Amino acid sequence: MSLTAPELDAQTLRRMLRAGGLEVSAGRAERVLPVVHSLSQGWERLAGLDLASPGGSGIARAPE
Amino acid sequence: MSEIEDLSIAELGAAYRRGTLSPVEAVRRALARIAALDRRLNSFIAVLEKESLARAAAAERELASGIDHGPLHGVPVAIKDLVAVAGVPTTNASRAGSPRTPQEDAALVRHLRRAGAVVIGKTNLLEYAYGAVHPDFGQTNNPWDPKRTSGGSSGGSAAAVAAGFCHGAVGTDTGGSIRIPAAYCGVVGLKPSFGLVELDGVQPLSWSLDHAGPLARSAADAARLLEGMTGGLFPALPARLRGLRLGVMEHPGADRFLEPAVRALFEAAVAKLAAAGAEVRPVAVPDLALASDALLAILEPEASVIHQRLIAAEPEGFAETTRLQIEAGFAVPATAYVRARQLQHELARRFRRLFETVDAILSPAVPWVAPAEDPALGEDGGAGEMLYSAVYNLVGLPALSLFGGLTPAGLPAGLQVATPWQADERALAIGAAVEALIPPARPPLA
Repeated sequence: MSLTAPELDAQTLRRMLRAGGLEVSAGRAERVLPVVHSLSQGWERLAGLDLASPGGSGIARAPE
Repeated sequence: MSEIEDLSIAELGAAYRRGTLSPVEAVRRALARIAALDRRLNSFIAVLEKESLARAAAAERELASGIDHGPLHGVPVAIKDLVAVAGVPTTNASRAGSPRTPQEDAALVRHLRRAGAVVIGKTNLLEYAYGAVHPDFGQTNNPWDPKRTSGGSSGGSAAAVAAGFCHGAVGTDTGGSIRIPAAYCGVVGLKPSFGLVELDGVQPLSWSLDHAGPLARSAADAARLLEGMTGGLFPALPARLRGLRLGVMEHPGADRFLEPAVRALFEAAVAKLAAAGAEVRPVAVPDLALASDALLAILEPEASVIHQRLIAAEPEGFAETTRLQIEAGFAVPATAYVRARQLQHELARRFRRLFETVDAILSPAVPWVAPAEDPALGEDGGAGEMLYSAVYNLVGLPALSLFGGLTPAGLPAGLQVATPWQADERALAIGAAVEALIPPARPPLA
């Protein structure tokens, strides 16, 4: 599901960014929020995929 | 005789070897054109006047003494300013990270120099190749209409080639950054097979998606540059069109984004190829609609890890749009990244199967002509701009943007040719054949 404004606020995003390795102010998190909302629509579409790995080396292969 | 800037690389080399033209004259002409015209375009960040003239003089002496490095000997080329050129600061078109002056050339520059090319300067780009203009460096304007962008991120390289400032240039492409500006500027741009061109000494954006490749005024010139960048051989003689199996990719989203004028040029190109004997049929790949989502879910977190120290130390050194993109990348869930990587490999498998039935895949390169400004990467316009290009970064296949004709407004549109893994030469050979049907044009630049 995409992250809509009531589901993801600046404080939560700030904690997510910190977990990812970036410390930002609350004001900065407010600015980043719309970008993350927009990206999360793509994450939602990817989550709908059913690409069960047949086994083998999975994703750890060079593109070819 | 044609003006120097109108000569192909082969014609330039032939003139050198006949003694009717010299590398110093060619470099002087390039430098003079840059001095006279680049104020309107802003395609160069650094022009290496003294160094390029010295190297051209050395190339001239070598030819006179019988030392010949091949087709690129004494040919003026430009390098995108995120690729290391020894002794020249690399700005990445950013104020974040003070410009470092590398002691060594990037591997691809080393290869080009070994092939005799003369580096005349470093070209402008979107900041760190990440989709936004840094205000201190400014937009590269389009030689066909300076009120429009040259595109990104390799816009400086594309504009410099289109304007006749150099005979070829190096760009990088993570979601379309060679092919999009090539299309907007009406030149040839090749995103080669993943890994074909060494990236040692090239500022990364996304380890999984980055490619470096040539921009040139013809497919043959692009082939010579690819040879110079890799040390390989890509003769790329025009392909025989009769019997060539061409798939026209059905891209979900085309109805929403594809401009009628670009569609008309694409359909006319396909009709010409069919009339020349190519077997043309529509093709489709399931889940292609998710390619841009997957690209961003890989690119964003990889770019954030790459820039982690810099964004923490000098956040205000970045343009606001670049900064937001880097910051947002830290929030991408690992599950989204893994699903994107899964889709990447599944799409690669589907393309392998598709290429059992066709020799090449055609599409427009970009759904529209050059806009006034570059759209932001994560926004709707950014997704539209990458509609046709992103998937080939994901699957690592060679993809070539060619001049596809001029719209009624007099602006170029790009035609994309994609081929199987490591069939880069086939893409260039088909490009050379297309050029016989749709001859490249030059912008009306004074």
